[in-house]
Formats: sequence, structure tokens, C-alpha cells
Amino acid sequence: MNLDLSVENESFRCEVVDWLTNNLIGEFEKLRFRGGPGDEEAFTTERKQWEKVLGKSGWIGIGWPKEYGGKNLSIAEQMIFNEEYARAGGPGRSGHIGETLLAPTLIALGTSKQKQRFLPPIRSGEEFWCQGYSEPNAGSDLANISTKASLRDGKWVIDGQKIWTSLAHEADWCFLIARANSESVGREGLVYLLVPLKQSGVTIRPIIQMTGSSEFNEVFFDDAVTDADCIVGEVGDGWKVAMATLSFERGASTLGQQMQFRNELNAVIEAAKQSGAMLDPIIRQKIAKAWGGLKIMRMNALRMLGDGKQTKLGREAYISKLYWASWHRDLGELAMEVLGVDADRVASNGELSRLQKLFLFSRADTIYAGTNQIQRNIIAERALGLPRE
Amino acid sequence: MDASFTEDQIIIKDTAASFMRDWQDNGGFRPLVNSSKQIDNQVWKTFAIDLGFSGITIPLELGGAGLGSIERALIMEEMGKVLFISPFFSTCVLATDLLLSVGGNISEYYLTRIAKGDITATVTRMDVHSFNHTLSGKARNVIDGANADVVFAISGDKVLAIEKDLEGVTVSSVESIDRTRFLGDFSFENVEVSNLSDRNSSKEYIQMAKALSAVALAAEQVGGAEAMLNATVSYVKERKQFGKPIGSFQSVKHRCADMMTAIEEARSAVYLAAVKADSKERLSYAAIAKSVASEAFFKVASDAIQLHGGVGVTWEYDLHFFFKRARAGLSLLGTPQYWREQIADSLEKGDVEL
Repeated sequence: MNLDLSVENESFRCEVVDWLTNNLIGEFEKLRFRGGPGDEEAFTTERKQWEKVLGKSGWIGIGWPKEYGGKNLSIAEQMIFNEEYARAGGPGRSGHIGETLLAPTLIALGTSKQKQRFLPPIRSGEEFWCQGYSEPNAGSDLANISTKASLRDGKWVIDGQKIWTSLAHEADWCFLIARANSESVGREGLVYLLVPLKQSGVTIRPIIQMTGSSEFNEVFFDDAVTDADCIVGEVGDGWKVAMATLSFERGASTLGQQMQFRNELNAVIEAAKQSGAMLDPIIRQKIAKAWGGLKIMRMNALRMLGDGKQTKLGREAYISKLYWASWHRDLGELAMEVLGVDADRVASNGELSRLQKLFLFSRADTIYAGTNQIQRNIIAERALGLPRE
Repeated sequence: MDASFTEDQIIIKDTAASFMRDWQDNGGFRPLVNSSKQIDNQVWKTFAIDLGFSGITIPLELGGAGLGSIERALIMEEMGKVLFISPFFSTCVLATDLLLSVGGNISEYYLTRIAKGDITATVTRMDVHSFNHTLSGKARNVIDGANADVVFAISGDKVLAIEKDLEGVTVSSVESIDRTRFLGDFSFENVEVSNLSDRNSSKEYIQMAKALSAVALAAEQVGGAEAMLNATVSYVKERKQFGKPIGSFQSVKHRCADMMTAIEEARSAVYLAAVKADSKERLSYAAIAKSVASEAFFKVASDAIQLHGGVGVTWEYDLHFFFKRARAGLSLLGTPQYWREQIADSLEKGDVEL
């Protein structure tokens, strides 16, 4: 066990820092620390331009194998990139769903034609993706989806509705699961399809969240179509492929998320110093606990990534989502506490401050991507082997 | 950078684990708890001398194994799982850390003897009003006080070495709620002692030793918590009510999931603090480990009792021994609140990186 970075790692870190210093400037300067959770409507056009800049310098898909245009960087290097990116206030990534969820799925399970068609524009920051899993009647019970897909005249025809679809309004494509066999129930008979969103059969309606902004959407499919070969795996493999995609959520990118959390904690501490809350012994306890939680989260991720050769999920991997979501929600509450009498006050320009957004947005963290309750079921059943209810 | 254990570290962990399993198979802590003895000499000899664990963190040139906080944490974790009763914590954690931190000839002399397995030792804090190479005073609640050969007394910035068979030393055993860790009271009357701390700023060294020891204790607490979770998971899989194993009910499952989460959180905290043991920020990392692990152990032990239902509060089941050790461990070497205040202080001063 050794958490020190090698000399090569340190020089890579300098390379990343230099690149960010030289590129996150000019027209992109204003994007620093923008576009994160609760702030997703900020500078959407400019942020997509920024993705192209990232792509051009090879900073998208840095962990992918070289044959797919990646840099095949080690876990340590991916971590360094993600951490430095967040430290510099790199803007919220419009392309992360394609890069961190779909691409690894295609690399593992896609056909060579799919890899050729879809990986290059993800890597160059030119095509954006969203994930179509949840439906109005399939939230925690994801296998209860009812969106239909049928093969007609050499095309998949899709009918149904998805919901809570992050960034659909900014996306070009959606990977989704649908029911190919209308007789089937649960995890059987599903397909995993790649569907273009810019077509008449698709309607996207943003959902206004309690922050007043929209990250989530409803997506309606009404005889929407996609090519017959836009299926990952075979008919009936949809569930398996969808779960493979979810397993990629636990990658090195979580370390970048933690750096964002660190920036937020820093803002909370600064606010506490300003408001005088830092003198309150109870607030001090909570701040110390939050700091410890952040360090634990990082160590937990490092344990999870291990030497990069892990084949089986360890216990530290099972607690990851529950832990960070609860930590972040608690940080939001602490942010309000340290703001004191000004916590409820909206600035004269009508915009919520970063800490106010943090408080409101973080209520979603313990719900999406598996609620805390579902996470506890998963921990109990899969990690501890307790019987199903 | 690699957060997985080296082969050597895994061997140490496995060796300790297999020793603890054998100890458990031979009755574990019950025979000692039921007797007036505090040390099983045969067991201690094997553990300390034959396996070489008494000198685990003592440098090679003093006859130790020259290993560090990570290796010792792995051993402590295994000890915690079975509530291993031995002078390891007092001798190889408290006393060893203090001596290594303070340094000097006298410290090295004692470290050599500890590495050899010749002596057991412990540490206490006490107020000394006057000190002129002879010491008078009292010390209470000293871990392993009644069975240690040497006691190192911290008073202000002084560290005094007191051999138990010296004239003027009286020690008595104190009954404790936690039956698996022994307490003793000392009374000293004009005892000839030597002062170890010939360095400046001893207070800082003493605080450093406390932090390192706290990490070892935290590792033991992770082990204890894990044993409680394992016992609980087995129990709720077997125990049936309403015609089903109670472990199938979500209220039970979710509590088990929270127990596991608390343990893995504490485990990450301990390993991180052990890795950082030589860094300048070690105090803050030790603070996370001790506060998180001691709270996790107490929470998990309490939950274990609750989920066992009626049998959880009986003497027959082992749970209460763990619960009692968990409670005592919250206060030992600084409460969670104390350590968090240290963190807040460092954050405020900018002594520690965010």
C-alpha cells in the first residue's frame, strides 16, 4: 500500500496543470467552476465548444485503449487528470455520459462497426449522449420498464416514455433499454438500443427542479426509429448490458467528483470563517467530520481502484454511492447552517449562490442512480448475502 | 500509487489471522475473563517472540521487525475480531510509540527489551508536583497497569520510566466494565526514576505518539466491528419470525447495510491514517481514524445487540464483551469530539490540506 505518486506521475500532473492554465483562458475563463450540479444551464454552448478543445488535445477517453483513440492512461494518471481538472475549476462536462458510460460499454460489448461509428465523435467532443433507463413506472424497480421496441422494415421502432433523463436536452443520442418482447416481464426480453434524438419521433421536455434549473428531462418516443444494427448485445441481453454500463459509474471519474466536493467544502469553510460560524464548537465538529469524510471517500475510491486489476467488487465499492450521496447531502445542510441568517436570502440578481444551489441540488443525490434505500438493499443482498424480501 | 496491500503485508495479516483463529478455537477470551490471570504467558510468548510481533514497529537495529503502522494495523484488526487479550496494545502500541517518539538512550534500551519479548510495558499520564529524580504520586486507570513490568509516566513534557519492582511502587488491579482490557491503579512513594525526555518540545513528540497509537486502536476497533457484523449477519439469516428469516426484512437489512458502511468507512480511514503515519499531516489523519472507527465500533456493537433481540443482552452471547470494549474505546486516547476539534483547529490554521 503506497499512496505516493511516482516522479513520472508528478511530471504528468505538471503537464495537466500547464495545459489547463494555457487553455482554460480567454473565452473559456468564464466557465471556471461553472456548469456543475444545480448549475447545468450555465454557458451550455460555450461548454460544448470547450469539449472540442478537450477532445482535440486528447483529454477525452484518456483511459481508453489506444486502438480506440484513447491514451490508455493508468488509474493514477486518470485520477491526476480528474483532480487537476476539478481543482482548476474545469467546467461541468457535457460529454461525461458518453465518455464514461456508453464508451466503456461499447468497448466491452459493442460490435466493431459500433465502435468505429460512435467512439470517435465522443472522443472529439462532438457528439453528446444521455441515458434512457428510468420511466414513470420504473424507478427503483428499473426492470419494470414498458417502453417498446420492435423491428420493422429493417429499423427499430421505439414507443414509450423515459424520465429523469439527465442532459437529454443537450444530447444528440440516447442509449436506452426497451422491451422487444411485449409478452416478457422483468429483466427478460429487453434490448439496449442507441437512438438518435434529433428526429420527429422524439420529444424532450425539461423538468424544472427545486433549484429552478433543469438537468433532468422527460423524453417521449413516438414511433422513433434507429437502425437495426444500433443494438448492443442481442435481443434479450438488454438488462445485462444496462448493468454493465452502470458498473462503469465507479471509475476514476469519481475522483474528479471528489475534487468538486473539495471545492465546495472549501467554500463552506470560507463562509463559516466569514459568518463567524467557525467559532461555534458544533459547527467545528461538523466541518471536521466533513473533511474526514472527504478524505475517506478518496481512500475508499483508491481501495476500489486498487492496482487496476480487480475483478470482483469489494465491500468498499458497494458503499460508494450511499456514502458520497449522504456526505454531499449533509454538506448541503451544513452550508445552510454556516450561512446563518443569510441562508434564505436570494441575491438581488435573482441567482442562487453556489452554496444555496448545493443545498437544493444535493437532495437529488440520494435519489438518482439508485436511492439510498435501494443501495442498502444492494449492500444487504449482494455484499452481505441476506435473503430477498 | 497502489492502495492494495503488498505480499508481505498480506502474509502478516494471514499469520495474525490464523493465530487468532487458533486462539479462538482454544476458548478465546473466556478462560482469561473467568480467571484472575491477565496474561496467558504461553500465548504471549508465541505471539511476541516466536512470531516476532512484539517488535513489529521497532527498528531492525534495536532487534525489531522494522515495519510500520500499516503492518501493525493489520495485526490489530485481527486481534480486534476476537478480542485478543494480551499486553500487545499497552506494550507494542502505547509504550513503543512513546519510546520511539521520544527517543534517546534509555528509550532504546527499553525498546530493545520489548522487541526481545523480555518485558511488557504501559503508559500513563499523571500530575507530578515536584520531581527531583524521585517520584511521588498516583496514577489511575492505567491500561494493563497491574501486569506491566515497566510503566512510562507522562507528566507535562517529562516522560519517566518506572520499573514495577522498584521500592515505593504499589499497584492494584481495578475492575472494569470492559472485561477484556485490564486497568490498574498506581501509587508511587519516593521512587527512583529516570527521565527519558532530554529533547525540547517533548509535548509535540508525546502528541505524535498518541496519534500513532490511536491509529492502532482504531484498527482494532474496525476488527471488533467486523466481528459484530459477521455475527449479526449469520444470526439474521438463521433466525426466523413470521415464517421467514428476519434478515429478509428491510428494516433489518438496512441496519445491516449501515453497519457495513460504517465499517468500510472506518477501514478506509484507518488504512489512510496508517499510510500517512510518517507525513507531516499525520495528526489530522489519525484524528479521522480514531473518531470514525471508535464511533463505528460502538454503533455496530449496539446494532448487533439490537438485531440479536433478547439473546443480545445475555451474558452467554459474546456481544456484550464487544459492546463494552467499544464503549471504553470511545474515550480511550481521546474522544471523537477531541480529535475533531484537532482537525478543526488544523483547518482553521491552514496546517492541513483540504
